[in-house]
Amino acid sequence: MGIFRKMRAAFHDDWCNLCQSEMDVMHKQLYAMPDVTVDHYVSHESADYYRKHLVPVEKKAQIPAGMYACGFHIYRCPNCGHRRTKLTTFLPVRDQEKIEEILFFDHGELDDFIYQSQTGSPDLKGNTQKRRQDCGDYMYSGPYDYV
Amino acid sequence: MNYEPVKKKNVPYLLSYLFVPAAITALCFWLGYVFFHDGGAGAVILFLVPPTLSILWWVLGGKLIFKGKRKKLMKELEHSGFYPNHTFDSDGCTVIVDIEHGKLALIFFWNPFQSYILPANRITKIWTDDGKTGIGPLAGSSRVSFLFTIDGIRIRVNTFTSNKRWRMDSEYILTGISKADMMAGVLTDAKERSL
Repeated sequence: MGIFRKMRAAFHDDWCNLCQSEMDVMHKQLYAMPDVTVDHYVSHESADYYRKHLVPVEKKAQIPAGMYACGFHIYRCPNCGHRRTKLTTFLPVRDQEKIEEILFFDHGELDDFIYQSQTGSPDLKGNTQKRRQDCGDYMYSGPYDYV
Repeated sequence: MNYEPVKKKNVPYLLSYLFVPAAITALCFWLGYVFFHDGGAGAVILFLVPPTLSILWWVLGGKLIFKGKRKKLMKELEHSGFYPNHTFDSDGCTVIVDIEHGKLALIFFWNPFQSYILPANRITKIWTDDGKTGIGPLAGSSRVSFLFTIDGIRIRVNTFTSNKRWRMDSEYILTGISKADMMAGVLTDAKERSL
Protein backbone atom coordinates (compact mmCIF):
# COMPACT_ATOMS: atom_id res chain seq x y z
CA MET A 1 0.00 0.00 0.00
CA GLY A 2 2.87 2.32 0.88
CA ILE A 3 3.88 4.32 -2.16
CA PHE A 4 0.44 4.65 -3.82
CA ARG A 5 -1.29 5.58 -0.59
CA LYS A 6 1.42 8.18 0.11
CA MET A 7 0.89 9.63 -3.36
CA ARG A 8 -2.87 9.76 -2.82
CA ALA A 9 -2.38 11.30 0.62
CA ALA A 10 -0.59 14.22 -1.02
CA PHE A 11 -3.93 15.21 -2.59
CA HIS A 12 -6.02 14.76 0.57
CA ASP A 13 -5.69 17.42 3.23
CA ASP A 14 -7.63 15.31 5.70
CA TRP A 15 -5.32 12.30 5.50
CA CYS A 16 -2.64 11.81 8.14
CA ASN A 17 0.77 12.79 6.84
CA LEU A 18 2.41 10.14 9.08
CA CYS A 19 0.30 6.99 8.58
CA GLN A 20 -1.89 8.10 5.61
CA SER A 21 -5.16 7.26 7.38
CA GLU A 22 -8.22 9.41 6.99
CA MET A 23 -8.38 11.80 9.94
CA ASP A 24 -11.42 12.86 11.96
CA VAL A 25 -12.44 16.49 12.17
CA MET A 26 -12.33 17.42 15.86
CA HIS A 27 -13.24 21.08 15.61
CA LYS A 28 -14.08 23.73 13.01
CA GLN A 29 -14.08 27.47 13.45
CA LEU A 30 -14.52 30.48 11.19
CA TYR A 31 -12.69 33.77 11.77
CA ALA A 32 -12.75 37.20 10.17
CA MET A 33 -9.52 38.99 9.33
CA PRO A 34 -10.47 42.68 9.81
CA ASP A 35 -6.98 43.92 8.91
CA VAL A 36 -6.95 42.25 5.51
CA THR A 37 -9.20 43.53 2.76
CA VAL A 38 -9.65 42.75 -0.92
CA ASP A 39 -6.56 43.60 -3.03
CA HIS A 40 -4.43 44.01 0.10
CA TYR A 41 -3.76 40.38 0.96
CA VAL A 42 -0.36 39.62 2.44
CA SER A 43 0.71 36.08 3.17
CA HIS A 44 1.64 35.23 6.79
CA GLU A 45 2.97 31.90 7.94
CA SER A 46 3.50 32.66 11.61
CA ALA A 47 0.93 31.32 14.08
CA ASP A 48 1.47 34.47 16.18
CA TYR A 49 0.05 36.65 13.44
CA TYR A 50 -3.19 34.65 13.36
CA ARG A 51 -3.39 34.60 17.16
CA LYS A 52 -3.33 38.42 17.24
CA HIS A 53 -5.43 39.35 14.22
CA LEU A 54 -8.36 36.96 14.00
CA VAL A 55 -11.88 37.62 15.23
CA PRO A 56 -14.11 34.57 15.69
CA VAL A 57 -17.48 34.64 13.94
CA GLU A 58 -20.36 32.19 13.77
CA LYS A 59 -21.18 32.39 10.07
CA LYS A 60 -19.89 33.88 6.83
CA ALA A 61 -22.77 36.34 6.65
CA GLN A 62 -21.27 38.24 9.63
CA ILE A 63 -18.15 39.09 7.63
CA PRO A 64 -18.49 42.41 5.73
CA ALA A 65 -17.93 42.42 1.95
CA GLY A 66 -14.29 42.83 0.97
CA MET A 67 -12.91 41.41 4.22
CA TYR A 68 -10.85 38.24 4.26
CA ALA A 69 -11.82 35.22 6.35
CA CYS A 70 -10.00 32.27 7.72
CA GLY A 71 -11.27 28.75 8.43
CA PHE A 72 -9.70 26.37 10.94
CA HIS A 73 -10.08 22.59 10.82
CA ILE A 74 -8.52 20.54 13.60
CA TYR A 75 -7.92 16.95 12.56
CA ARG A 76 -6.94 13.94 14.65
CA CYS A 77 -5.77 10.63 13.24
CA PRO A 78 -7.70 7.70 14.74
CA ASN A 79 -4.73 5.35 14.08
CA CYS A 80 -1.67 7.17 15.38
CA GLY A 81 -3.28 10.04 17.32
CA HIS A 82 -1.42 12.69 15.27
CA ARG A 83 -3.10 16.11 15.35
CA ARG A 84 -3.03 18.63 12.56
CA THR A 85 -4.56 22.09 12.14
CA LYS A 86 -5.51 23.26 8.67
CA LEU A 87 -5.88 27.00 8.15
CA THR A 88 -7.52 28.25 4.97
CA THR A 89 -7.46 31.96 4.18
CA PHE A 90 -10.04 33.05 1.66
CA LEU A 91 -12.06 35.98 0.42
CA PRO A 92 -15.80 35.32 0.82
CA VAL A 93 -17.63 36.64 -2.25
CA ARG A 94 -21.39 36.15 -1.98
CA ASP A 95 -21.86 32.35 -2.10
CA GLN A 96 -18.32 31.66 -3.35
CA GLU A 97 -14.84 31.69 -1.88
CA LYS A 98 -11.60 32.87 -3.45
CA ILE A 99 -9.01 30.76 -1.65
CA GLU A 100 -5.64 32.46 -1.13
CA GLU A 101 -3.62 30.08 0.96
CA ILE A 102 -3.78 26.81 2.92
CA LEU A 103 -1.40 26.34 5.84
CA PHE A 104 -0.87 23.39 8.16
CA PHE A 105 0.24 23.49 11.78
CA ASP A 106 1.38 20.09 13.05
CA HIS A 107 2.60 21.01 16.51
CA GLY A 108 -0.53 22.45 18.11
CA GLU A 109 0.70 26.05 17.75
CA LEU A 110 -2.85 27.40 17.62
CA ASP A 111 -4.71 24.97 19.91
CA ASP A 112 -4.92 27.31 22.91
CA PHE A 113 -6.14 30.14 20.71
CA ILE A 114 -8.83 28.09 18.96
CA TYR A 115 -10.33 26.61 22.12
CA GLN A 116 -10.25 29.90 24.05
CA SER A 117 -11.77 32.15 21.41
CA GLN A 118 -15.43 32.96 21.92
CA THR A 119 -17.77 33.69 19.07
CA GLY A 120 -20.36 36.41 19.38
CA SER A 121 -21.40 39.44 17.43
CA PRO A 122 -18.12 41.31 17.00
CA ASP A 123 -17.97 44.79 15.49
CA LEU A 124 -16.13 44.15 12.25
CA LYS A 125 -16.66 47.57 10.71
CA GLY A 126 -13.49 48.70 12.47
CA ASN A 127 -12.64 52.26 13.38
CA THR A 128 -13.75 55.00 11.05
CA GLN A 129 -10.40 56.80 11.34
CA LYS A 130 -8.77 54.30 9.02
CA ARG A 131 -7.92 55.35 5.46
CA ARG A 132 -8.31 52.92 2.63
CA GLN A 133 -7.48 53.34 -1.02
CA ASP A 134 -8.59 50.93 -3.73
CA CYS A 135 -8.72 51.03 -7.48
CA GLY A 136 -10.37 49.26 -10.36
CA ASP A 137 -8.54 46.48 -12.21
CA TYR A 138 -8.05 46.30 -15.96
CA MET A 139 -7.16 43.11 -17.74
CA TYR A 140 -6.49 43.73 -21.41
CA SER A 141 -5.12 40.81 -23.38
CA GLY A 142 -3.59 40.87 -26.83
CA PRO A 143 -4.54 38.37 -29.53
CA TYR A 144 -1.82 35.94 -28.43
CA ASP A 145 -2.78 35.95 -24.73
CA TYR A 146 -5.83 33.76 -25.30
CA VAL A 147 -5.33 30.23 -24.09
CA MET B 1 -20.49 71.49 -0.36
CA ASN B 2 -21.94 71.53 -3.90
CA TYR B 3 -25.67 71.78 -4.42
CA GLU B 4 -25.68 71.96 -8.22
CA PRO B 5 -26.54 68.81 -10.22
CA VAL B 6 -23.66 66.43 -10.90
CA LYS B 7 -22.24 66.62 -14.43
CA LYS B 8 -20.30 63.55 -15.52
CA LYS B 9 -19.15 65.05 -18.82
CA ASN B 10 -17.92 68.50 -19.72
CA VAL B 11 -18.91 68.52 -23.40
CA PRO B 12 -16.64 71.43 -24.55
CA TYR B 13 -13.66 69.75 -22.85
CA LEU B 14 -14.53 66.36 -24.39
CA LEU B 15 -14.92 67.82 -27.89
CA SER B 16 -11.78 69.96 -27.68
CA TYR B 17 -9.84 67.01 -26.27
CA LEU B 18 -10.79 64.96 -29.32
CA PHE B 19 -10.93 67.49 -32.13
CA VAL B 20 -8.41 70.27 -31.39
CA PRO B 21 -5.35 68.01 -31.91
CA ALA B 22 -7.00 66.58 -35.04
CA ALA B 23 -7.69 70.12 -36.34
CA ILE B 24 -4.09 71.26 -35.63
CA THR B 25 -2.75 68.16 -37.36
CA ALA B 26 -4.98 68.78 -40.41
CA LEU B 27 -3.87 72.44 -40.51
CA CYS B 28 -0.19 71.41 -40.36
CA PHE B 29 -0.76 68.89 -43.16
CA TRP B 30 -2.36 71.60 -45.28
CA LEU B 31 0.52 74.03 -44.55
CA GLY B 32 3.03 71.32 -45.38
CA TYR B 33 1.26 70.55 -48.63
CA VAL B 34 1.01 74.23 -49.65
CA PHE B 35 4.41 75.57 -48.56
CA PHE B 36 6.65 72.51 -48.66
CA HIS B 37 5.23 70.71 -51.67
CA ASP B 38 8.72 69.59 -52.76
CA GLY B 39 9.72 68.20 -49.36
CA GLY B 40 12.51 69.34 -47.03
CA ALA B 41 12.90 69.80 -43.30
CA GLY B 42 9.73 71.92 -43.02
CA ALA B 43 7.65 69.16 -44.59
CA VAL B 44 9.11 66.56 -42.25
CA ILE B 45 8.31 68.71 -39.21
CA LEU B 46 4.78 69.55 -40.35
CA PHE B 47 3.88 66.00 -41.37
CA LEU B 48 5.54 64.14 -38.49
CA VAL B 49 5.46 66.23 -35.32
CA PRO B 50 1.74 67.20 -35.03
CA PRO B 51 0.38 63.63 -35.47
CA THR B 52 2.92 62.28 -32.97
CA LEU B 53 2.04 64.95 -30.42
CA SER B 54 -1.68 64.37 -31.03
CA ILE B 55 -1.38 60.65 -30.37
CA LEU B 56 0.64 61.31 -27.21
CA TRP B 57 -2.02 63.81 -26.10
CA TRP B 58 -4.89 61.36 -26.70
CA VAL B 59 -3.08 58.55 -24.89
CA LEU B 60 -1.60 60.45 -21.95
CA GLY B 61 -3.07 63.97 -21.78
CA GLY B 62 -6.42 63.09 -20.21
CA LYS B 63 -4.85 60.76 -17.68
CA LEU B 64 -2.32 63.39 -16.59
CA ILE B 65 -4.98 66.10 -16.23
CA PHE B 66 -7.28 63.75 -14.28
CA LYS B 67 -4.43 62.61 -12.01
CA GLY B 68 -3.35 66.19 -11.30
CA LYS B 69 -6.89 67.35 -10.54
CA ARG B 70 -7.49 64.31 -8.31
CA LYS B 71 -4.34 65.12 -6.32
CA LYS B 72 -5.47 68.74 -5.97
CA LEU B 73 -8.92 67.63 -4.79
CA MET B 74 -7.38 65.36 -2.15
CA LYS B 75 -5.33 68.29 -0.83
CA GLU B 76 -8.40 70.55 -0.73
CA LEU B 77 -10.37 67.88 1.12
CA GLU B 78 -7.63 67.55 3.76
CA HIS B 79 -7.88 71.27 4.48
CA SER B 80 -11.68 71.40 4.50
CA GLY B 81 -12.11 68.85 7.31
CA PHE B 82 -13.27 66.07 5.00
CA TYR B 83 -11.83 62.78 6.24
CA PRO B 84 -11.23 60.43 3.28
CA ASN B 85 -12.03 57.06 4.87
CA HIS B 86 -12.27 55.30 1.58
CA THR B 87 -11.00 56.35 -1.85
CA PHE B 88 -11.83 54.38 -4.96
CA ASP B 89 -10.07 55.20 -8.23
CA SER B 90 -11.54 53.96 -11.45
CA ASP B 91 -11.04 54.69 -15.13
CA GLY B 92 -13.99 57.09 -15.37
CA CYS B 93 -14.21 58.62 -11.92
CA THR B 94 -12.85 58.76 -8.39
CA VAL B 95 -15.13 58.38 -5.39
CA ILE B 96 -13.96 59.57 -1.97
CA VAL B 97 -16.14 58.77 1.02
CA ASP B 98 -16.10 60.32 4.49
CA ILE B 99 -18.16 57.75 6.39
CA GLU B 100 -18.05 59.57 9.72
CA HIS B 101 -19.52 62.82 8.41
CA GLY B 102 -21.68 61.14 5.75
CA LYS B 103 -20.06 62.99 2.86
CA LEU B 104 -18.97 62.08 -0.61
CA ALA B 105 -16.51 63.67 -3.06
CA LEU B 106 -16.54 62.95 -6.79
CA ILE B 107 -14.35 63.84 -9.73
CA PHE B 108 -14.91 62.58 -13.28
CA PHE B 109 -12.41 61.82 -16.05
CA TRP B 110 -14.40 63.77 -18.64
CA ASN B 111 -15.11 66.66 -16.25
CA PRO B 112 -11.84 67.04 -14.35
CA PHE B 113 -12.10 70.80 -13.75
CA GLN B 114 -15.19 70.42 -11.56
CA SER B 115 -15.22 68.34 -8.38
CA TYR B 116 -18.27 67.67 -6.23
CA ILE B 117 -18.53 67.40 -2.46
CA LEU B 118 -21.99 66.23 -1.51
CA PRO B 119 -23.90 64.98 1.52
CA ALA B 120 -24.33 61.22 1.09
CA ASN B 121 -28.07 61.49 1.68
CA ARG B 122 -28.36 62.78 -1.90
CA ILE B 123 -27.69 59.21 -3.03
CA THR B 124 -31.00 57.61 -3.86
CA LYS B 125 -30.00 54.11 -4.91
CA ILE B 126 -26.85 51.96 -4.54
CA TRP B 127 -26.28 48.63 -6.24
CA THR B 128 -23.64 46.41 -7.82
CA ASP B 129 -23.60 45.02 -11.34
CA ASP B 130 -21.58 41.86 -11.94
CA GLY B 131 -22.12 42.15 -15.72
CA LYS B 132 -23.15 38.51 -15.94
CA THR B 133 -24.32 37.28 -19.31
CA GLY B 134 -25.04 33.73 -20.45
CA ILE B 135 -26.34 30.83 -18.42
CA GLY B 136 -24.90 27.73 -16.77
CA PRO B 137 -21.34 26.92 -17.77
CA LEU B 138 -21.38 29.71 -20.37
CA ALA B 139 -22.00 32.43 -17.79
CA GLY B 140 -19.31 35.10 -17.76
CA SER B 141 -18.56 38.78 -17.51
CA SER B 142 -16.11 41.38 -18.75
CA ARG B 143 -17.11 44.20 -16.43
CA VAL B 144 -17.98 44.50 -12.75
CA SER B 145 -19.05 47.80 -11.24
CA PHE B 146 -20.92 49.50 -8.45
CA LEU B 147 -23.52 52.10 -9.29
CA PHE B 148 -25.37 54.81 -7.45
CA THR B 149 -27.75 57.57 -8.38
CA ILE B 150 -27.46 61.17 -7.25
CA ASP B 151 -30.53 63.31 -8.01
CA GLY B 152 -31.53 60.72 -10.60
CA ILE B 153 -28.14 60.76 -12.36
CA ARG B 154 -26.66 57.29 -12.55
CA ILE B 155 -22.94 57.00 -11.78
CA ARG B 156 -21.14 53.79 -12.68
CA VAL B 157 -17.73 53.02 -11.19
CA ASN B 158 -15.94 50.03 -12.68
CA THR B 159 -14.09 47.72 -10.30
CA PHE B 160 -13.00 45.37 -13.08
CA THR B 161 -12.93 45.70 -16.87
CA SER B 162 -11.45 43.52 -19.57
CA ASN B 163 -11.56 43.02 -23.32
CA LYS B 164 -11.99 39.33 -22.61
CA ARG B 165 -14.97 37.56 -21.04
CA TRP B 166 -14.13 35.74 -17.82
CA ARG B 167 -15.94 32.92 -16.02
CA MET B 168 -18.00 34.08 -13.04
CA ASP B 169 -15.80 32.07 -10.66
CA SER B 170 -12.51 33.49 -12.01
CA GLU B 171 -10.38 35.37 -9.51
CA TYR B 172 -10.68 38.66 -11.44
CA ILE B 173 -14.47 38.59 -11.39
CA LEU B 174 -14.62 37.50 -7.74
CA THR B 175 -12.20 40.29 -6.74
CA GLY B 176 -14.24 42.81 -8.77
CA ILE B 177 -17.51 41.69 -7.15
CA SER B 178 -15.93 41.86 -3.71
CA LYS B 179 -14.68 45.42 -4.29
CA ALA B 180 -18.05 46.48 -5.70
CA ASP B 181 -19.97 44.99 -2.76
CA MET B 182 -17.51 46.60 -0.34
CA MET B 183 -17.92 50.04 -1.92
CA ALA B 184 -21.71 49.66 -2.01
CA GLY B 185 -21.50 48.93 1.74
CA VAL B 186 -19.27 51.97 2.34
CA LEU B 187 -21.70 54.26 0.47
CA THR B 188 -24.66 52.79 2.35
CA ASP B 189 -22.88 53.44 5.68
CA ALA B 190 -22.12 57.03 4.68
CA LYS B 191 -25.73 57.55 3.58
CA GLU B 192 -27.05 56.21 6.88
CA ARG B 193 -24.78 58.53 8.86
CA SER B 194 -25.75 61.47 6.69
CA LEU B 195 -29.49 61.19 7.49
